Amino acid sequence: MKRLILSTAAMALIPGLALGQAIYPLDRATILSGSKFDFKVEFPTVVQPDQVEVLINGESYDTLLGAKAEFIENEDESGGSSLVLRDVTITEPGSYTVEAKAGDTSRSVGWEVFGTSAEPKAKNVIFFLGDGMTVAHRTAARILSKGNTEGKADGRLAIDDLQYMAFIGTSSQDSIHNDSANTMAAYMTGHKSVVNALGVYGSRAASNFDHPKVETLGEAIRRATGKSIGIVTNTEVQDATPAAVVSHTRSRNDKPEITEMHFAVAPDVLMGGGSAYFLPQSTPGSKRVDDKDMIAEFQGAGYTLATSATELQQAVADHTDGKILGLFNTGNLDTTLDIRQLKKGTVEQFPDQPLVADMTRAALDVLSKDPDGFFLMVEDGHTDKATHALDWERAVYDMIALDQAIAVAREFQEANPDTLIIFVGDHTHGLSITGTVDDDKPGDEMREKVGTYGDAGFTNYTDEDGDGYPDRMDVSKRLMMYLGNFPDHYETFRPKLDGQFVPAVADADGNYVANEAYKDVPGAVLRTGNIPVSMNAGTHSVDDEVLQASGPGAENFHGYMENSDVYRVIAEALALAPATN
Amino acid sequence: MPQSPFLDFDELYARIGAFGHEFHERLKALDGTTVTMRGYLAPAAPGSREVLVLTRAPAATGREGGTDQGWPEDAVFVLPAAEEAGDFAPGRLTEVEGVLEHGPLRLDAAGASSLVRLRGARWAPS
Repeated sequence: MKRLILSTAAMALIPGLALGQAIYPLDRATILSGSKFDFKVEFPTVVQPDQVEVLINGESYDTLLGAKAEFIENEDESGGSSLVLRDVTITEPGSYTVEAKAGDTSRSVGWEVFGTSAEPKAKNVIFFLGDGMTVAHRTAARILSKGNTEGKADGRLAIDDLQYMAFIGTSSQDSIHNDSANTMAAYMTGHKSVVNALGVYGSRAASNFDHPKVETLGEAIRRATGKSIGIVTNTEVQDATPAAVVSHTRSRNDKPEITEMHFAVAPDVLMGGGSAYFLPQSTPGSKRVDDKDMIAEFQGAGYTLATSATELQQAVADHTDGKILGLFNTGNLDTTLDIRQLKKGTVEQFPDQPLVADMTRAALDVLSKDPDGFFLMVEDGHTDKATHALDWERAVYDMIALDQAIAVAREFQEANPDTLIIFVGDHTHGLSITGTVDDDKPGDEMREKVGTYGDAGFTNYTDEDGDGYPDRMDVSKRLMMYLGNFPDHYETFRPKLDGQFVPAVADADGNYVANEAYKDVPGAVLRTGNIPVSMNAGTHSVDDEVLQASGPGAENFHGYMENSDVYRVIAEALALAPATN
Repeated sequence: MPQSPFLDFDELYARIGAFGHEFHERLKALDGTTVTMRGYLAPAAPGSREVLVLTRAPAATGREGGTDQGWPEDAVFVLPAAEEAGDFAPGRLTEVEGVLEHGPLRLDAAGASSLVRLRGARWAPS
């Protein structure tokens, strides 16, 4: 024990480690010139203002940033002082060195402020986000949608012809791991952040809304261009991915506030679920804790509201100007498998939910009327949510749905070649195709029906109606996919036709145990989890994402890139910071 | 367990829609009385024994890293009777008896807004 104490004390003496100043934006940050961001320095202890010296490129920080920061002697009772200066900009591209000193301690970080070409490469950018998308989702979608004969695919997905490709690193400010908030926020701000954060760096501030902000792409487009903005998802519009286009909070769970952040940026098209966060608390079904009626607010600002696929179609047909708000579910829309085939989930309550391709087409019809062009973000969230639930059938079916949305965009791009299309996941899952499982093999042990190597052969999914989706998921010879991490659960080797898989349920102590509802499925076997018992679902993985892109500016995607580098390619394509001299 | 009037999950709401939910007439008629419901119990928040939820099918919520799954819209919040130890059989169909209450109410212990509650609840596997 004595050695441990000495060791800890020794660590505390190392400048810059654990107790050093924290400077936001972080070291190696890349900042769009002219973008707004919050500058913050956190000192490890309480210091006096006259002890503090903060320099940028050798001059007092206020020379460049144009104002003096607020000095907070003991920020949120943290035992440390902070300097905070909000909404600053740096217009001159170049390298900047920030040095913060207080007494004997100092810390230095470097920033790169980047500009863009004077002329945009692309008029429009369509950004497709397959949440949690992994290479296995793509491969499985190709097999289920197109088939495979003698080792060659019987057709190509829309994504298969996107021209450029890059590997994307998805790690976080605070962890090699990631979540959908900070990964999408990296695409939408150009900055890394902490798990669960949107449009802010993770600092020691107590309030979710006091952390140092960085400008979102939605805000940058509003500030620097006259382009329209579209946000489309089959999750709640407050979910991490759509939220990242406009939001600033340390917690993705601040959904009532995120609704208001959407309102502040006012996308020209906003479609998805999550109406519960628009309703005043007095309305049964509301998930707000105040009396704001955000549907009325949006309508008052000129939005036309659609709550079904039919209403959406009508709203687009009638559209001359104004904005579209599509709210098709109180929560997430149902999975495409449930909407199209199984009618499970909330389909009985919401029988006319649009698919991602329907929403993409509607959004393009509206946004393409803007002579200045547009930015459209389209997400399929069930590629992730169903994979968390170890329900790969629903995830892959939604991968096909997303591919069909990308096909819609590719048609648009053919007619409008000044359009950049980007397709990427935010993080991966440990999902992999092992081979096949064949019910017609002898015996009762499902494990013995799993085929690998030459014994896997081919699946017998069909697509008689040619709609690109398998006619049924419960064919006799199916894909066999496994996840690398999971809670306790019963492996059934079959699709879950009665509703999305719920692999584990909580006991009275909050520990997740295998859901006994699947115990008696013929051939089901108990799999003991390999992640903490506090987790009820599979987790993301740290593996790289694969990005694909086509169109003007797509050539800038290549090799390995950080997720935060993707923002710069978009900014360059749209010329968000043209050189002024 | 004494048998009180049985209330089915289909009798909670006449309509669930994007603009909010409409309570079922039978639910409103039974408000304030002791009823029995059948479903699956789970803690409303991790490790919570003060507030549980009853769902028509086994359910789990998680916000860790993006699962971001809430309780089903027709989940019933269960506030155990003082003598109820709070143990239950996870994933097993359970009969719960309690005093029915409806209307929006924030339950801080669960970190959730509730619409239908069973107070003073007791239960046994069905």
